[in-house]
Amino acid sequence: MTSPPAAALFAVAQAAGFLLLAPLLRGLLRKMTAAFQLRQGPRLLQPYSDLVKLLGKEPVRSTTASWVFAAGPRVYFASAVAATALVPAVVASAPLEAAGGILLFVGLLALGRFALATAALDAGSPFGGMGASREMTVGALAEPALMLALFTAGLSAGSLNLGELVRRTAERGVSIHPSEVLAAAALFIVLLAEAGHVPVDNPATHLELTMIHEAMVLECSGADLALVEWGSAVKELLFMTLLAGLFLPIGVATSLAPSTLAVGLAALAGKVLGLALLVVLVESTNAKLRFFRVPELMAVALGLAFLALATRFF
Amino acid sequence: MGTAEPGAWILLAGATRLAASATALAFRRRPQIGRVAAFGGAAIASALTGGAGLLGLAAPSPLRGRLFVHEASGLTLGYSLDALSGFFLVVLAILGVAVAVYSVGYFAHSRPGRLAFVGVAFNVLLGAVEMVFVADGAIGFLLAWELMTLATAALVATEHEEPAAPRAAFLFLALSHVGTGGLAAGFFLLASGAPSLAFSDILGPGVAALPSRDAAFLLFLAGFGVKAGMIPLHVWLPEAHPAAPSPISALMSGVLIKAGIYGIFRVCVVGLGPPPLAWGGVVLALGAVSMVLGVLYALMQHDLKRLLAYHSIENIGIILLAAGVGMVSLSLGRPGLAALALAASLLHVLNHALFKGLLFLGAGAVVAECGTPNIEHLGGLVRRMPWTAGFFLLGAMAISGLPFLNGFVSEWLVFQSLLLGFHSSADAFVRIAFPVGGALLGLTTALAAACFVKAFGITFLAAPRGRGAAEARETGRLMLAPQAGLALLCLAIGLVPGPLVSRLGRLAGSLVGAGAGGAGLETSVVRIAPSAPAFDGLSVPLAAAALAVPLALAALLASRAAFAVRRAPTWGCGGALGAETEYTATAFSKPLMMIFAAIYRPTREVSRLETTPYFAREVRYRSEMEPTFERFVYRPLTRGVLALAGRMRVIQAGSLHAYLGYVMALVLFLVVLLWWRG
Repeated sequence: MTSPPAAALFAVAQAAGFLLLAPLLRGLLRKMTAAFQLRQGPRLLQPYSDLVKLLGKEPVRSTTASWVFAAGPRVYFASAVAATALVPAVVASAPLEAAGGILLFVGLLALGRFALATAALDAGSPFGGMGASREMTVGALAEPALMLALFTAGLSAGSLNLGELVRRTAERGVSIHPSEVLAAAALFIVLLAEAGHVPVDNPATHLELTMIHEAMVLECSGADLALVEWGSAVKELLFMTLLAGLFLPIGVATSLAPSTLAVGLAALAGKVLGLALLVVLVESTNAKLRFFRVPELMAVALGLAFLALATRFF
Repeated sequence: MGTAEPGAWILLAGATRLAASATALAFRRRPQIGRVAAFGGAAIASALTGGAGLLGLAAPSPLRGRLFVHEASGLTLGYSLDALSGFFLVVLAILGVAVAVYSVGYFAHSRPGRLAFVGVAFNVLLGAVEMVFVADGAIGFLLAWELMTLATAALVATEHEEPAAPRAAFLFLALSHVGTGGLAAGFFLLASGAPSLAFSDILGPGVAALPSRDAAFLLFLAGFGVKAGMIPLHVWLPEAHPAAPSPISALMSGVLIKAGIYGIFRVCVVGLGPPPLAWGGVVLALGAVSMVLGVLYALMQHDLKRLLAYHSIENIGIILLAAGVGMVSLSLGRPGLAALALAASLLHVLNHALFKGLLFLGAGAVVAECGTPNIEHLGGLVRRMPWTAGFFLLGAMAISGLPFLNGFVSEWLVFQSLLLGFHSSADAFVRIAFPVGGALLGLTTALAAACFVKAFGITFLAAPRGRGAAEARETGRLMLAPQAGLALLCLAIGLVPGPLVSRLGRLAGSLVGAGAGGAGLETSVVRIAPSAPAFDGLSVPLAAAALAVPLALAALLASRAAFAVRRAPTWGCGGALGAETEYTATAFSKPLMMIFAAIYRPTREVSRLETTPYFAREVRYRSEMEPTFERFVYRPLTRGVLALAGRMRVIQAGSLHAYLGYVMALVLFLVVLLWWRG
């Protein structure tokens, strides 16, 4: 994967894979949640239909909105897709490892969040402001835990480059060192916050007092909304892939032979399915936290991440 | 004098400043000419300064020479220009040119007499900062330092009809003089055994033998820390920046507070011999506290310029954090890592000057057009002032450390130095302080992003909240061009950081004696590897390409939106939306205020005027943060000093006999002292 055309091809292929499969994860999460609630739920492929329908619709934009409002969803979508090139998925290497590692990954997601939150303020509705304020707050509170957990993984592998990190983890094999468990738990909490799941946010609500992400994108419609939804789905799948790659290095393909690739793909699917089940389990058995209790959850994540670091290095 | 003689450039710049000031004074009744002469001259002089700076950057060894010799007293003012001075001169030059051009437009409607005054003080300030950066001895340095302080105070007090301005200027003067006192005391300590007051005699590895080295370090750190706005010595900064005219605020934030950083680099980092671990620890801790508290306080500000001022404290914190990492690495005998951290610190010095200068110039345009710095009364300016809005957005993204702008690169380098330091040292302090520093830097960056979503969103987006904003117009080209230039520089450094980073790596390497390479900072791909294999690389162009492709894809997917967009008023849940229903800056930052209530200690007061218990006719709401440092540090201090002064009044009796007695006593004391010592 060193020659530029091969890397570019790899990046395009991986991004396409993420784009194609992310709505499936959304559908899966909804279906499983419905099953927990003894409902039938929407069909598995419903998110695809939603995307197609929304992409074909004309967006309605506020009369007060400017170009910033149009730029928000596009930058958000693009930053999530660009981040897929930095994370190893099926193969133990990322397409654009030379571009940067963990810090660029975090930076790209921050760029998307900044763009969307700014756009949310443009419509002049109080909901947008409320959502933007809450999203930026939760994002800021999750940041130290995210950084510390990723640093722990990076420092124990000796690299901050995600491809290198996953390769070294795969070489070492599965470890049940307490540090790994603690860091994985911290990252899982960050995943719940970043992807907007209960107990931090409720993706299914439109009740003004409780929504965070949904309030922020309330004024988006048509193709704008489709890009936001798709971007969020890619971001969620990306976080799960990252978590799986960093802490469950089983079956990651280390060569390009078809058989190992198939094993890698199956392993990744299995791991993401497991994580999705865990997310649904948490969502179904917990109530959404009051917004001002969220900092406590984030403090727990930070504490776990710090303990992970301490158990690894002291 | 050939072109390789930087003294000629410095003298020429000085002469230009003098001529510009003289013309401004001579034409004080013809402001059109005076304005162009004063600020145009300042722009040319700044460009000359930049020439001298580039010479310094390119010079293999310090260039020395004399600027001024006073035969009668034997006073000689020399200059010494090395790469560090050169770098700071270049920062000064870039911002000096931008601010000077902007000022030609900004002061167009200023009162004639005041204009001449501002023009002269502006030139004096730029010249003084230049002298600070090139001074080769304690005397010249302190003279320039004092001149810089006085010129700044004069500029802060420009709009002296406003009660806040003289107060801010006084606070600045008082704290600065305490700081200068610390510097003078520090230089005295160093000079006690030295043959002269030249830096080459009093600074350097020889100081390591001095018993009072720790005291000197603390004196210098406090003295320079006041100027840099380091917490807890920062209290003047959020008062002085908003009180000064906006271009002056840009200059203060971009260059003046960097004079403090220059001093810390020149003296504390490398000038007092190899720093012990504790020094680095102190600088690192003060940097971490400054950056976190700076951004937290910034979040609660609704005055655009005050908000930017608190962000200066935050960025000074980041600069100091990196400098602290460099000092700790030096004390652990890892010059390569130290070079990396110091390069990150220096790059952030430049970056902060660029984006904060840009933001202050943008804020100046907004304040001048709308008549208020209070963002609660602004809004909708993206339509009225599209260029200013675009430039401000770029600056906001840069200061939030988002990719593809310069802030990301320097913060990335700081993270790298923290992690590499952790990875390669088993020292207990490093193992705790570095990851905590990294987590705090992450928090700071994310909070800064939240703050600038607020600052940009409330100021420029949605509907105007006040008449000033509703009737604002785009500013003139003279005020837009400098913003465009600074924005382009932010973008350029963000996209192609390689050459600059490797140059700064060499500079930092030569500072700490790590050899020419310093850290292995390569060009197009910034790979960082002082000793171990590469920890992580960053290729911003590649990453930018990776973003551009999906951006194009998004545009393609949503191409329908390009042709068919329906416009409709925002749904107001059945009511009408307007300026009063928009989300406010107070509301935006309220969650963070509640979460960090232990730090802010907010008090609020709600009073209801009601006719029936169910419907309030009027609700008044007031919320305030407790100014912790002012109340718990400075108020007791001021009281103590005043009480002491009250006691001292006893000896100031106003009686001539008593004063003669004091003189007599002093003479006697000196005679006895002389006799006793031999």
